[in-house]
Amino acid sequence: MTLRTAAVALVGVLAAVSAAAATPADQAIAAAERRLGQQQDRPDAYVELASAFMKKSRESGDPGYYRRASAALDRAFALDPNDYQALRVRPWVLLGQHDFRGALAAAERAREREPGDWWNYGTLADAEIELGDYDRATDAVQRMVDLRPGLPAYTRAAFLRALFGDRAGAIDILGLAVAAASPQDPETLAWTLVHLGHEHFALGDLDAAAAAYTRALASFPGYYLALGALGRVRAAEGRLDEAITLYRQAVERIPAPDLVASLGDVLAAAGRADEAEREYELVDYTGRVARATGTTNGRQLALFYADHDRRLPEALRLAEQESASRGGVYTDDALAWALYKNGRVAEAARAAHRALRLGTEDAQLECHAGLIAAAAGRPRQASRHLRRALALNPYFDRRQAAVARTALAALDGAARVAL
Amino acid sequence: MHMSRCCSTLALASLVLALGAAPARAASHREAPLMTLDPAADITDVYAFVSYDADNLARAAGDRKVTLILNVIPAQEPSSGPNYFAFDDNVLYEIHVDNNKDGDAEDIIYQVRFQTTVDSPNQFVATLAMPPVTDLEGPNAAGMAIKQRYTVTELKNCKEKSKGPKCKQKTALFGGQSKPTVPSNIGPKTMPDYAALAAKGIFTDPDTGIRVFAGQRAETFAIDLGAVFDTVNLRRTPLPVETVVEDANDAINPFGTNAFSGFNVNTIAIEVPAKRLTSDGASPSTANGTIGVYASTSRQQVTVRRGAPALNPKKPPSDLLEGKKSFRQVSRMANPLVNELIIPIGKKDLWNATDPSDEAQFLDFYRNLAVADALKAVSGVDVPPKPRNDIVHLLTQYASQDPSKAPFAELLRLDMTVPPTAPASIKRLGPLAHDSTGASTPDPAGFPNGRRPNDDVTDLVIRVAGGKNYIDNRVGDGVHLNDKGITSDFPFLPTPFDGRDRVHKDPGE
Repeated sequence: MTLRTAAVALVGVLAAVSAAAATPADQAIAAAERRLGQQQDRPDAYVELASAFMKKSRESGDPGYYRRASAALDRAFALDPNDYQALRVRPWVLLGQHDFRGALAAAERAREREPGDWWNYGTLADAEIELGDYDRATDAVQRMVDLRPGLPAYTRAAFLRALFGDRAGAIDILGLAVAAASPQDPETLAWTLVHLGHEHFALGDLDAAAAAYTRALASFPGYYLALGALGRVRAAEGRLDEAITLYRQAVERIPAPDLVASLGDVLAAAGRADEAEREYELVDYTGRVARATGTTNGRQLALFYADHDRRLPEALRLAEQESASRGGVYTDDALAWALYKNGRVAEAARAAHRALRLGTEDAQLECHAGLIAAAAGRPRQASRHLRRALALNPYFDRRQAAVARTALAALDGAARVAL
Repeated sequence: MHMSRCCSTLALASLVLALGAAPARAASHREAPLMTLDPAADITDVYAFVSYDADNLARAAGDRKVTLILNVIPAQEPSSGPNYFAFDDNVLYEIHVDNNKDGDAEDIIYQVRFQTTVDSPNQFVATLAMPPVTDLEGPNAAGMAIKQRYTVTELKNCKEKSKGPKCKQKTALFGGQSKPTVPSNIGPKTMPDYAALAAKGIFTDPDTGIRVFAGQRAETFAIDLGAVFDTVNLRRTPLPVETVVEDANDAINPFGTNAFSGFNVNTIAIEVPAKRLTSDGASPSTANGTIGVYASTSRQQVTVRRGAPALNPKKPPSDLLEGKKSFRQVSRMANPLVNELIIPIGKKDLWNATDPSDEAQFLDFYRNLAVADALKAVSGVDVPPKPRNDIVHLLTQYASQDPSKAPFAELLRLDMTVPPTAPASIKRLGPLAHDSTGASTPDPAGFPNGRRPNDDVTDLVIRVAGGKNYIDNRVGDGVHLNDKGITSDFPFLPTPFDGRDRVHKDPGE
């Protein structure tokens, strides 16, 4: 009998009977706290609590739980600085707190302790991906798949395939991941389905994306990730009222800047400029609070400011700050876009080139690269990128797709004149 | 306008403050799952025994049959609609047999693969509003929205290679035709005669005489898990010992609460003529009659970077997707509780991925037997001194072998020459069984000679780990059985609890 697994399942089942409204993460937190009531001297009990908070954080989108997870881990380390379970969970928590270098070091420590534990290659890969070290991340995920094929390894392998320009291959692996998910862990199934939907969306397949998001919502009702993602599909289809409703539901759960900004964009598209402006103000406000409190979510905010031509110097400051603590093609893309909007075209072009270095099939990256190339006086390159953006996924972003089409028309017009 | 803006900003400010200024730091990195359950590949129990149904009890010794069982998907709450419980098409389910005592269980392999068909992909419930399900196939099975079929392949004389076993002989049962699985027991309105429905899921291959079953069954493994997890807080103090009379009575749970009462599992059962399992094809004898068994589940291997099509113009991506044929073992099981009680955290997944014939790297954990320390810490009663070479020999070598020379392989060993015990006489404590006066009444057909579904492996393991003091004092968890008792016909596991009327109770409650 796999007691540990059985016990987890059992606790889930019994708790579900007694408290139907509690989510799996709530149940895990309650179970860990009950256990701590009896076993305050056990590091593994605190690790269990930390893991439950991590689960809750992803389920809810509320990063406040990372702090609580971190505090629980500190208690575990106070009891035993060498507790292996605490060591392997540490990088997971640090990733949540966006301390990617710290996470990398912590993951390497845990791997030194147990090189045969697949988990350590997952945290290692996550840190390496965030730091932009994709070759090492690929090695780590391959090791992870070799040690333990299953949902955690499949989802990471899929992400790397997508980054390296193989979205069809990513969809293949995510199919394996969906099949491997447990019905007793509905949030994990829903997360996997959301990311399957994202791959379809990136290829412009709105129906397949919507089907995946809808299944995610059936598995884990009210999931903010799925609500926002389905809202994006409905907006792309022109079903703006539905999109607004979905985004509002998502924002009610967690007012993440990208969700609030997207709600604003759909309201604007529906001709409700005043309401849109209120949403934009909320994004802006959270950004200012973040700056005042020293926290940052630079990439999302930088893109928001740059997209909406607001506070452009702040967009650049945030993007540069992100680049200092985090690597990767999406950080390069945000930096490129912020540099471009601040008129620093030559540097923007270099960053945009870096953003496309993996061959990622992503309309946003191509669109940014195209507009930057146009500004840099390279019309043929610009036109190639913009065509590629619109061919990959004409729905990638209502505002930016329109900008791309206008720019492409202008480039084509100029080309005809030159002929 | 100015006014409304001021106030909306104030409202927003209070909203954000109420949220602890958290949203600015929302989880914007792609936080892929780490903590996951993998129930479809999670082996809960493995059983191997000479079949004890009336037909087999009546057969001549040389013609008897042996049942091999692999259970997965633990602790199924029967009412867990609407999706219920299915095997995974992407998992390779295997039962491996060593029949020449070299510890390499690749002499015979039974491979089981599943194929799921979804009749109505856009709905999320298991059954349609249709007439009751009274068959596994055809119009009377139309009420099931999702159906699963499976194939069974027998491989013989294999050598393990990096991409899977290479075998000299391969037999596809039923000529390679798939058979239907038995669905989860949803309830009496949907499935009015579940026992009859499940009986239709037993198939005998005419060429080999092999019988198979795949589907849901009731869990027979019984343990007071709640008490064990509560730092071995068993429900009799000061010591969890049973009286002679209690211990001799297999029909009661003297003081424990069975954590698995009312839960189901998914079962793959394969019954094979014993002659087919011996190395020479002859009837089991002292020379050829003992086999070693383990079960495994494997998941598809994938190549992370198969290369974008543009980067590999000469190699189409499908060729680079090696995963289609390659599997990695993710779970294995032979003897009960080895992974839980012997292998430490941090090594469990590695152990699961390791071939049992490579067990030597884990033997220090057997010799140190931490669970014996735990027993001593809780009870204060002495346990045998370390190193526990008795445990190493019991779990990783054949009884007749020289411990200093034989290879180490953690297998469930079955002497097929031992006759089966009729259901009415089966004793949960096998070799340690006794009557109400304390006189020994061993039942040699049970664990650790193979394992039957109702053997009390929890008490046996506690006593073997604790040694003589624990055996003499009849230490246990106070749980003897599940409330469905012994099932005397193939697949030897009870009809599952149904979703509507299931209860979680102990016998006599």
